[in-house]
Amino acid sequence: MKYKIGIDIEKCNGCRACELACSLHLEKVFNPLGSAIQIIRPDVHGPVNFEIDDRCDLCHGTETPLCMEFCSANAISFIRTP
Amino acid sequence: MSFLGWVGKVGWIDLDTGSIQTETIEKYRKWIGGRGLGSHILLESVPVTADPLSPENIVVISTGPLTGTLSPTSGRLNISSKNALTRGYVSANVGGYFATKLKRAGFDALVIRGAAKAPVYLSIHNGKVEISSANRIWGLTTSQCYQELKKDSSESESSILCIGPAGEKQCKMANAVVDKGRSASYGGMGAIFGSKRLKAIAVDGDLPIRVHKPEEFLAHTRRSFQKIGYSRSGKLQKKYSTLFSKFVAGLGVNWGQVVKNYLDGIWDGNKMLRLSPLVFLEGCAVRNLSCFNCPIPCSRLYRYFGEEGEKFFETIQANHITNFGSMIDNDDPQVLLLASALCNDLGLDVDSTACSIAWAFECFERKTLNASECDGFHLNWGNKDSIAPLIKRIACREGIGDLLADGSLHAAKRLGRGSEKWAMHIKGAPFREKDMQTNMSWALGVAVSTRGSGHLNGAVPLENLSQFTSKDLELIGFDKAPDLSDSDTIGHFVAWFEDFKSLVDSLGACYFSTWWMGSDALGPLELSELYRTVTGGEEDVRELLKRGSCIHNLEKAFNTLHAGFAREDDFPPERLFDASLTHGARKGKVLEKDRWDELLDGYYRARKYDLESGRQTRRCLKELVLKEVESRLEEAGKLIE
Repeated sequence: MKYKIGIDIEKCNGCRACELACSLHLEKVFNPLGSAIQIIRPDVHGPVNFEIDDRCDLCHGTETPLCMEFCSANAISFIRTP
Repeated sequence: MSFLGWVGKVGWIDLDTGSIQTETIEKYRKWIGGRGLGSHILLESVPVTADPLSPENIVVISTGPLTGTLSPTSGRLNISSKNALTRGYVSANVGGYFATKLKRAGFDALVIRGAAKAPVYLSIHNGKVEISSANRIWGLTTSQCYQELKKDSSESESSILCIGPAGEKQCKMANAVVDKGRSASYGGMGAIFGSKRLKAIAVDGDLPIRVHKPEEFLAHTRRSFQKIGYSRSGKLQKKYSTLFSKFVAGLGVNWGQVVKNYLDGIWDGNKMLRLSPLVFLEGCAVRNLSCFNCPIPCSRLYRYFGEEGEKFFETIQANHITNFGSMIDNDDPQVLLLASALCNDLGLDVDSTACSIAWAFECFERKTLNASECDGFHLNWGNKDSIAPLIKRIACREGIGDLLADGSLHAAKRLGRGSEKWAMHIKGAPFREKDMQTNMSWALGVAVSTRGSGHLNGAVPLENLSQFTSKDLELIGFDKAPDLSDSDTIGHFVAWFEDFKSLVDSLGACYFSTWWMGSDALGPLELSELYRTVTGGEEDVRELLKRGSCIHNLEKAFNTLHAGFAREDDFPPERLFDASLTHGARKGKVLEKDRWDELLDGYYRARKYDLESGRQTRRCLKELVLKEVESRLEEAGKLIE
């Protein structure tokens, strides 16, 4: 069984903690461009969308991916893939 | 050892000449960042004779060492300037996404001086600053300006800080608004931008932010997130936004309402129910909105649907319910929503605007103003039809709006007729704080704020003190359970929280996530660990709190030098002492002058200020090693031996 990260955009507040956590994991710096998760919200009051690219390794070696751990809206979860 | 947390640059932008110069952040390291940096540069750079709305005044827009990192609530921006309302110091602290974008664009801070000949806006991308004509956005509301600038492909991801029409007209109650919803409210910041013909700043960047010890920092961040998330105030704020303080006992139990410009202290229960927080949260909130990296989002997107059609706007806070509710006796939630939305969009500070309108209502009720002087409006308490038109007139300085546009004190001075007595202000800053008679540490903190007036410095409910552990109390400076009725205890408590707030604002964190909200939230120990692991700085918690004290003292000195404030300016409005000016449930319930004098003595003793003048002493400044402040005050003949 394979899993990947999914975001419930109805729950997401758009705070971007996930991007920070991911870039810290992948590049040891804070930089949304270095994050596998991209939160997309062109209008700060508008709806949220997201993309996750193949750099996501589910924070290999940790029990809970950092993005999920630091999402205070509980919007991030594992989803099953075929 | 490298010193991280900052990206390393302060940008000096001269709007007179269009020159842009940068300097390294190193020389400002002592001031931590954010507000500390702003206060230092203001004291160094603004001439004592400068008018706040003249080119000589400067605006310092600064981030902190925690900004843009995973440290919780790391999206705060500080904006400091010479206060348009008090002529003293002001810093406005604002959330949203601007601070982190500015830092990723390569600037820890911007200093803006001079004034452009024609309206301009700044566009900042990865270390480059461009000054462009603002002709196409001048005259637009804050939301229109945001949308217009975002149409540019180069600004599609930018965060926008801008002023509305009120700022352009230099209304001294004007604010500067981040991303059409977060307001830098205090001190007429919008008017100061307007005087420089600076309509907006658009900023975006993708530079990385490095921290000193990533793994250790992550561990401290994890603990801080957990602490905030499990704190009582954090849970409530997440669920009910800041409106929780309107119906949760404990943080302000028994606090009175501000009713009809402080004439009364308890509002009609049915009216209160009609403006219950749930009316807004359940009935009008569309979605939660969060500042950058905030685990306890206090903002909401609200929908107004009424006579003016449909409007979406970000947020109403607890103070809005007082301002456009009980202060003017309005119990219509749609009117309150519209008033808040208009202030946001036209670029007006909600607190100051409501104070001015409440003053005008009282003038009308006392027949000091008549309908023809009020553009035909009958400003009787609760006349909800007049509120939106008044706000629009203020923003455009039309008719009665021109009288009200610079705050209630200014309006009263212009009008005369004895109306100064009902202009609610401290040091010229609007005053609309909840019951000042029952919670003395709150009241004292409001009155001695370096911004002139306001609860976001040393004002903390005294009952919070009883929540702290003996270890916490030791850090605050008490070696045993303090006597909560003692003036020296209250004074010390207020002074300590002023230092703590200076530190929080300088680091770039949000006060709502800290001990200000309760002892189970973030305290100085957690913040000092975050600071250490981000920057590599070796200052311990006591040294950082001492820096907080230094920053407060820079601002105090600025107020002494620029505005001449002294002990007599640290008093709340006369109405709070004068029983003959109260009625209804507040009848006779006033502060006592003797008690207030005791409280001020206690506070000045904690600060080591002179009791008679309320000013800084050589001893106070020597202990803090603030030699430059000592010299400046001495030269001006305002240093007390």
